[in-house]
Amino acid sequence: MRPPRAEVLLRWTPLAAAALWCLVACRWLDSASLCGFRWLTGRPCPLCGLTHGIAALALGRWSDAVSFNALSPLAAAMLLAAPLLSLAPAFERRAWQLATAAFAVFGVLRLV
Amino acid sequence: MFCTVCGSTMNPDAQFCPNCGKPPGAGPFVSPVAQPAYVPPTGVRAQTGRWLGIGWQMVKNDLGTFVVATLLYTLLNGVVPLILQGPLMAGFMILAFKKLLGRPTAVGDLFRGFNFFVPALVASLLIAVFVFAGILVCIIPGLVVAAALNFTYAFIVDKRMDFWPAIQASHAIVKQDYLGFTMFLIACALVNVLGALCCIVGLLVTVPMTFCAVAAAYQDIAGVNPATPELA
Repeated sequence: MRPPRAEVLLRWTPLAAAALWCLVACRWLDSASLCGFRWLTGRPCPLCGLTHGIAALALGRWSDAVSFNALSPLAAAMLLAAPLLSLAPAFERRAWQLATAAFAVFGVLRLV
Repeated sequence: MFCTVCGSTMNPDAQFCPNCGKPPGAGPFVSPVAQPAYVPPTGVRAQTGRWLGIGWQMVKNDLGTFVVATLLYTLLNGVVPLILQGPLMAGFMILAFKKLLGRPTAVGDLFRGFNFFVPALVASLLIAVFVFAGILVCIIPGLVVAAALNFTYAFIVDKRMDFWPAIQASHAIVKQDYLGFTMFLIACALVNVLGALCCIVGLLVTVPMTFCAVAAAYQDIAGVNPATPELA
């Protein structure tokens, strides 16, 4: 059996996957949107703009990041904290629930 | 009286069930109505590396069977898309569970999933709808939903659950570690991408490997019932 530490390290994969995705999406997709909700309704979903927002944050362009998606700093913080949060499962679950709730409220506000 | 395997009505004097052909008392039948809701163990955490490792070992030890089963699975899914996917997934679970239990496996085990045709079919259609709805909202929710329903077929086969209790049971496990199980799903997808990069042929190894990884995860968390008739 692998030591649990290896499994904890595997939790860095969201961060790596997100970084890779931002790199690919912002480099090659530019302003194109992969959001089916936006295609169908013409309105942004709660997660629209996150890729560009996180990429802008990585470049230190805070105002751009917030204009892409106001919650991109929260998403970036959650991604960065994910491996550490996994060390405290009860707190981790609560944190993800709160983040999900924040995105749900933001999504509704975006549509109104 | 009722058959203890399939639940059909049978004559009290009959030696075999007219529906499934099994003798009275051949196996446990649990009515979906009477079945209590599944209560998962607490503190479940995804162990992606361990489960993929077990999946690899399982496929490596019985490569021929798994490769042929994957070929059949792909072929039949291509010929009759959507309809056969659920029962074939259930069949793959049976194959993987038998391997986990150290029992002899055969390609024909794939077709034992048809014993669960209706619940597996409905589950596959519901999963497709839920995942599609999630994918519509910037993809990520679709991945989380797919991860949450990853063990549905395992519950249908092993605990003989109907489609909805199986979906609920799978979600009950995954909700304890959404992130970890979503990463497990993504890791499985990446393994299959690697398989596809190996001239597509690699998928014949990586697809059963990821099925076996899911079965290993289920074994760790819920435990496979060795008395399940299909695993005999």
